Amino acid sequence: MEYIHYTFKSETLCIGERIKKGTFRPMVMTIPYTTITGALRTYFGGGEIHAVGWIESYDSKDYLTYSPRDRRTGVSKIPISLEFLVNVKGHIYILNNKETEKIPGRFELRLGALRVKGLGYTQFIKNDVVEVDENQLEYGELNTRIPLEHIDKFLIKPIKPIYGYLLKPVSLSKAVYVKSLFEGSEVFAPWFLTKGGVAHGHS
Amino acid sequence: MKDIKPEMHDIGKLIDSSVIKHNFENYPGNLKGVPPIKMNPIWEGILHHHCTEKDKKYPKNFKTFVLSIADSVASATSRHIEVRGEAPRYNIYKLWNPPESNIHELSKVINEDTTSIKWVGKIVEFINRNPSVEEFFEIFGKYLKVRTEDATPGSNITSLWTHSKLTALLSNFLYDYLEKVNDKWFEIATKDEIRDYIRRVREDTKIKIVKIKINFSQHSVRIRDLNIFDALEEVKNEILKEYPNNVIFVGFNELLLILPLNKNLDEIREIASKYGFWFEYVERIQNLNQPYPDPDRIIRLINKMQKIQYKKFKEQIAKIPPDKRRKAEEGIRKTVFEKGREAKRISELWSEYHYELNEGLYKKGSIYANLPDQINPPICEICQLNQATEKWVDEESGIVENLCTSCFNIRNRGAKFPKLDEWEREGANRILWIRIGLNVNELINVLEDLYAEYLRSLGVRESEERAEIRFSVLSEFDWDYKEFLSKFKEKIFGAFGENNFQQILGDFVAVKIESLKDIFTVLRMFDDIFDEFFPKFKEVGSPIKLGVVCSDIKYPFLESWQILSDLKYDVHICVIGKGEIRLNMAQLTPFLEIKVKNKALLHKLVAVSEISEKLAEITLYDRADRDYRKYKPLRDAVREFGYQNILTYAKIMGG
Repeated sequence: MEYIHYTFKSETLCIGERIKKGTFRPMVMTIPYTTITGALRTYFGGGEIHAVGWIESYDSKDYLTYSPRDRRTGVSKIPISLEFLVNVKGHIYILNNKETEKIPGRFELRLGALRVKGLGYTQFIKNDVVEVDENQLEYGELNTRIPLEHIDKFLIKPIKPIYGYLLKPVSLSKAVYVKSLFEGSEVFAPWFLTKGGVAHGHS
Repeated sequence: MKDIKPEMHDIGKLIDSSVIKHNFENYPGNLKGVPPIKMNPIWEGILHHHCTEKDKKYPKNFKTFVLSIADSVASATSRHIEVRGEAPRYNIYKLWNPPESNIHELSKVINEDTTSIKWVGKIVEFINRNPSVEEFFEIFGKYLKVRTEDATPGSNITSLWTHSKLTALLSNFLYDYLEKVNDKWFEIATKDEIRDYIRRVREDTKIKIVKIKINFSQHSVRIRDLNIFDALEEVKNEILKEYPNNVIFVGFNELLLILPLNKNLDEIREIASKYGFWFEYVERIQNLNQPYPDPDRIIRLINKMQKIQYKKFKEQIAKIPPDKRRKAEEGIRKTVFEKGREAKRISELWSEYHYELNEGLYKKGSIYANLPDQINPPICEICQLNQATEKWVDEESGIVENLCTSCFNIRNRGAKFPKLDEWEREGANRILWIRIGLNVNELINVLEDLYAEYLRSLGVRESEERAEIRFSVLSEFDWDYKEFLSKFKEKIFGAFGENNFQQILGDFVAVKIESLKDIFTVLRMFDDIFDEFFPKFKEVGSPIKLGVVCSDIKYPFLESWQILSDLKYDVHICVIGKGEIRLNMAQLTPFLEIKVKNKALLHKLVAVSEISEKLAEITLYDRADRDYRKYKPLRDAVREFGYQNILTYAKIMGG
């Protein structure tokens, strides 16, 4: 299997957890499959894009309080505080196929939530193409979130899984939650999908 | 097994062995004026629980046979350590808190004349009246706690108290588990035949050691959601009730169990899923004579070896002049990571890992309640693992939350921690969340190292290989750890008063504080008690971690919990909005001894840091600054503890 490795930088990035408890919404500390794949598919078109990612570093956490408005009544709801990250660096890995090999070496798109408020502007730079086979898998903690139906595409073999659900659009107006593998799961996987992949000197 | 009361099998170890053997087989011998033994099931256990070559008495029925096996499994060592020329040591050498001196006389350890007829008579009469287990611990508990189970130097690392309790647990477990043998066989079998059978059972019986870690997917944001900890306690208690003879160790959310091979984890899954919890497990099939308390042993050892490799790498690099390091790095890396002793060991361990995995001897995974492949919205806003079927409407704000039944029930329990509610209503200024964590894998690593150090000091060869940590040492540690937690809690309670103290779990409390300086009160108390219980951990690394988060009471608990749930540093203080302090345990005492008399300097440093933290750092070293000389104590502290730690210290003390 081949994966195209991009590094990315974002001044402000907000990928909200679904838990919000009314007034506070924390940040997902990785780049889930659904977030990055959804963004790439929207930007480049095509249904055969599959990507995952993770955050390497950020400078600080910050909070944005805003009050979403009910579009029907025009009335503002109770304000919620959203957590976001400042000066984020990270990596994404796109499954290499006929569709994805056409993705340019550099591109910019808006990723995550609150894009209309100016957050999520992200620049991607192609790094290299990584080839991995089943014999090169490493044991470690998964550093991303990915639906179970796609783990084979990234050669992920769960040993001690942590499950959760990611939202998967099924039509323009409808979505379902699909069972997914979350970060922290103990797995055999390509080195770049286990915690500390790059830090351990693999890139 | 209940009538034999295995707890009392070694009561004879409270009598000097020159007077009577601990299994009373030579009683009364030359003793005059002592009461005769009136046989009862307890005496059967005492008299027949040994079966060595030199013992005259040996197991005479299935129960004493089981007791004999449990006794050896519950011992601190496999009894092969031989230290020549060393007198017995009757006081316990606690690996984490060794005694100042070795006591070679039993009477001095337990403060009774253990050679006297009166003492022997007291013990015999006590057993003659077939007392209860509770009475036994009430009357003799204080002696059992100070007398080591095995006085052989190098084996004296656990107490008779721990050994008695563990033997009872294992006896009950093995009585149900082992294949029953008719008592008539024991009547006709010779001692050698019984000895041989005991050996075979110990070598051939397989047990399953399982470590489970209970997790909750519920993310607590509100005070009311802290009910989750109450539920966690209930889950642990239910498991303990369900498995009274299987649980060896209970931690914050971890349990270590010994199970029969055919026992699966379905019942635990039932219990956990009632609360919407899930758990991770690691299980390993072991021989009965290898009671290692860590089923994830291979991975633990791999991690340990890797840490040694990184340490060696750093040490070797540090010896090279800086300008030549880059060139030398690759060579050193190869030597350490590919050719070194640890690299060879890691490779062997991986082979063992794959062998055990393929043979089904080792297994790990996570167990959830039935999770569907797909959930139609809405999903529960708390656990995110079930469809939301209930609606929770907040009375104050009117916010509606969609919840699943488990999370709704936990939320619906009402205020389990009334003081937190009260403080929230009062609009309390600041709150401290204090949690003590224990990393069991790290604990075993550290205990192995300390045990090897002890054996080395006795001149034992191959001390590293022999320093195996068994169930008993972990149980012994557990007693001290619980006492340590309870003492720390008492101190905090005493210092802050009942109205300002809320216990959430045994190792997790909240305190309402008036001043940030109260953080140091907590740290000083912790440090004093830590020194009292675990001084050795300051030398080799601490598996015990302290986490303190100081926040406004309205601050989302979820954020505080992210720090407290996974304590990565020995001491981690996080003052929300001010900064963090991260120390290793050995740094704690010197950190608390930092003395900066001039408070105005701290205020100045904090004020500058509010403009720029970097500027504040430059100010410290700016020779043109009029306070340059006065900053010396702070500069010294920065050198020792790092700038961020000192800046947070300044903010706490002067901000």
